[in-house]
Amino acid sequence: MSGPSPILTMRQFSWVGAAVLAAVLAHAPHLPAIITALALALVAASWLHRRRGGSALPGWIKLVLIAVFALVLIVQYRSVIGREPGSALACAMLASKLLETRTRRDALAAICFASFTLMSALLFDTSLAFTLATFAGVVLLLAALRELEPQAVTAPKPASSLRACWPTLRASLISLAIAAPLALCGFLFIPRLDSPLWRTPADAGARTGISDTMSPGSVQNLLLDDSAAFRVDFDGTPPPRAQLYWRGPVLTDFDGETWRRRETGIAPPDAREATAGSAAIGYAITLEASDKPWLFALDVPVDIPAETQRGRDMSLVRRRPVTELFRYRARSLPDYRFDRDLSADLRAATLALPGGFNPRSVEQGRSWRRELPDDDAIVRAALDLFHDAFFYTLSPPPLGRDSVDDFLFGTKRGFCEHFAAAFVVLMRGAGIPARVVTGYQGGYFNPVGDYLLVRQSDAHAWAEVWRAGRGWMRVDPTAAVSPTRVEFGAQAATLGERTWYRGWWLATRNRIDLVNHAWNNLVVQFNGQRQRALLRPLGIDHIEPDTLLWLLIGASGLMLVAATLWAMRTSRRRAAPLDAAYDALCGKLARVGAPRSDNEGPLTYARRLRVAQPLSQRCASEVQRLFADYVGLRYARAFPPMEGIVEFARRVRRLRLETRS
Amino acid sequence: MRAALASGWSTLQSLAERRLPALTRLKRAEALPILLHRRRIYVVPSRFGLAYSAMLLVMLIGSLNYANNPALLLTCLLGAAAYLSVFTAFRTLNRVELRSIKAHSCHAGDRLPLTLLFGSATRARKHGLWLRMENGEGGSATAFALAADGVQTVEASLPAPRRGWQPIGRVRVWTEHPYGLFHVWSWLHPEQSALVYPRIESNAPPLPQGQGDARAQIAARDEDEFGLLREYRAGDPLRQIAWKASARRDHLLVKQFESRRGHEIVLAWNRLDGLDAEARISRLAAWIECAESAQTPYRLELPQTRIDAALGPAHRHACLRELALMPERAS
Repeated sequence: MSGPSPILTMRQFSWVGAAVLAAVLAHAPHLPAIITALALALVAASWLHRRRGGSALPGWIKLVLIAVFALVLIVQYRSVIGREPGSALACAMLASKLLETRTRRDALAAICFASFTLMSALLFDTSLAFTLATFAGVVLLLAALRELEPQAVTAPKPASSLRACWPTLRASLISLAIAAPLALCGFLFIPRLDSPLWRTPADAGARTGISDTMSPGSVQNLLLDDSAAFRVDFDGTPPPRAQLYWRGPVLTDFDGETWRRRETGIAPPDAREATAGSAAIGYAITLEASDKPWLFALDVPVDIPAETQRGRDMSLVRRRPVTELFRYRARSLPDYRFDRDLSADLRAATLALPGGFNPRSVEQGRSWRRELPDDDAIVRAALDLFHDAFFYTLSPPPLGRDSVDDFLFGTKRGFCEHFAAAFVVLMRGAGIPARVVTGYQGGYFNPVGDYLLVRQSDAHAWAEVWRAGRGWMRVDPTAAVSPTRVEFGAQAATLGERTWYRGWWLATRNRIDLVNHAWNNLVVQFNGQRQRALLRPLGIDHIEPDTLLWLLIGASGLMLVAATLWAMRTSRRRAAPLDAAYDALCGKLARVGAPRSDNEGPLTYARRLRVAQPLSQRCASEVQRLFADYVGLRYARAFPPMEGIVEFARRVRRLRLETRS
Repeated sequence: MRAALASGWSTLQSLAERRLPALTRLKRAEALPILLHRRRIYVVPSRFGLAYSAMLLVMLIGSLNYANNPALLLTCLLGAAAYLSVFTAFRTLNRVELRSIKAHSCHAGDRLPLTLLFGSATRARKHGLWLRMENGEGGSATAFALAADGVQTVEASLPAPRRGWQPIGRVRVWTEHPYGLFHVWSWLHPEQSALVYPRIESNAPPLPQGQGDARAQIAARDEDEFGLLREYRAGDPLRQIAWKASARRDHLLVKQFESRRGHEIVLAWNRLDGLDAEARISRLAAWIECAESAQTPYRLELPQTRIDAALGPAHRHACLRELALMPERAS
């Protein structure tokens, strides 16, 4: 309506504040701490300011706020374009909006913007738990809107303020529950875009995961990270655990400290040199967002997903980084042969050792070459060395400049990256082409959901050696030290190092992960392709986008018709309580044989009853009193008091009529 | 500019009412009680509703662009809840009933106070109802709520520029419950009129001398002189309450002036020469109030009628009513 917008009450302001707070908190997990702290401080300040009276703010405060936020944003991001800085900007603006919120109109604007901010938080985390948390924020938004409407003036004030919130929250929850079918219909039938309308610059390096370099300690953080890396649905029975090597980037170049990936070019299409009789394993992988282009596949992939290159080293690289959950299919051959003929440059690269590093290790390799008859014996000698004298631990002692020397001849304690690096250095020293392969090993098989969950903590590094006539062969030196690592995973291999509850917690989480997998498969991965196949159970293989629109219109139309019928439902016109009670009185009299005739008003009727005396003495006087009261209530005043009507109705209900016998 | 727009709009409205009676038939006056039902309830999105749907559209495009299904689900959920709120809003206004209107006494030039009695013919509670008198210039909207099967009185007021019967005019009732996204409204046009008493002349001359010595009566008035005390009735002037006597009982008592007959004054139209008709009416109205507060019985003599001397609310009402309903051009 026109005219100045009404000033909010403290209660209304608190509701709006709560909704804004929820929207800002939803961004807290990914925002830099300083921005979260500033926004939260601003929300608190607005609340305190409003509590103290909430006069309009002078302009300079707003200017200072804008300057502070602009400064922080520029220092943090150097840009305001993109998801990260954009969301930080939105949070800052939302919190500032709350500070100047005084009237209902301000509050509506704040809630409108808070809805957007809350939704944009889902761009950073699509897990089930987080989505449910944002839905709680939706409840708060709706409750705040509800509070902005005038409430019943006569409502009794409940004792505690928390209890006072409940009716509003409950009403919002109910309206969300009612909206769920319509929302679901929109979700199923709104046509998905096949390619995005715009794309913001990706934010690189924000997430943990396997990278294309390996330096001492780089895998260590991953091994302690329990978050999911990917989930696998196998077409048939899953292969044995010892075969579950998920191949990632292959690291060839070593500078003494860091292992790096080497561009090897695209594998020729005829690179599959599978041995006959080996069955390919088909599976689908749902990869969590990693912000990196690496895809993982069982050693070694033969059929690869679209938009993906398979390098000569059999690692998969997608054209663009995986910035959201990505599901792909692949097929692998567990029994493989490739690169039977090694090119000269690749041979040189996989034999290269940095000069001046790890002299003792290189010398050890050379001595094996001199003393042992063939490559097989050298490989076995190295594995035996590890098996006899080395320990697997996730917290190894620090290593010096010649890290491999220190490890092999000093500490003798480490985990996969130490073993793989040391093994490759030994092999190259002995003149056998070798390289490091990174990826994941193992995973937790969820028998209920029939899928394999691979966590970041399953990250692994192993080695590959080249043998004339055989091609590249996988050798896992870690398995020689700690077979449990391969059989049961890194967590089990370090059993003594972790606390009891951690193991229990992980086991529980492995089971609960079923829900996440279902959520990812059913909701997060519901893309255009899956949408078009929606009606496959009904025999329709492919739905066109315009058919989808018709489906959307039809299904939501049906629901709206149902809602309209509900809203229009005309209940029997209910008589005013006083008339209803009077009708009941007349009905009782009719049942004892003294019905009111249509032309009688209450006074005439009462007079007739008095004269005819059909009732017993006691009843008759009560009936006369009732008629007198009815006339008094009905005709004496414009607005009869409610208590009088209730009392009258109660007395009519209690009335037991006896005829004069 | 604004005024021109407003006048243009009202011209358009009256044209529409003439040309499209089917659309506006509910604006015609009708008898109480008036029950609101689906054929006379109108729904449009509010300004906030439009802004919010624009925001929902942005959210939809955003979530589709990023192929982010949880965000799309959230947008759908918000959108569905927002859209379905139109039915809640409709049900809030549906079956609201205007049962009666009570007009309080008022003189021309004051605001006419009204008490409207609303009832709900459904079992659901109704929050966030608003009411505004269409003719009540400057009157702000009043919020009210109805309990299940409940009744609620709502106070409103109208400007009363002229004496005589004044139609109540249209009443706009609306709600934006629950989320303020939809504006659901209806017109109520009760064919009821309220009687507006004539304007009271300010600084009227003192009461004319009657046949007896009314002035002496007033001067000699003393508490001992009152013969009777009776129970308080609605409408008795405050100054007539016997506070001391009331304090001894648990209800209010009112001093009753007896045996004033013979000391009455005559308020006669014809004795007010030199004044035009409206001025005479105002003068007489002022004197009536004056005589009432002085507790002096008075007689009203008008060209066409005469009311015998008496005192009290009923008599006052009869006299003021005669004055209020005098023809515009009385000679």
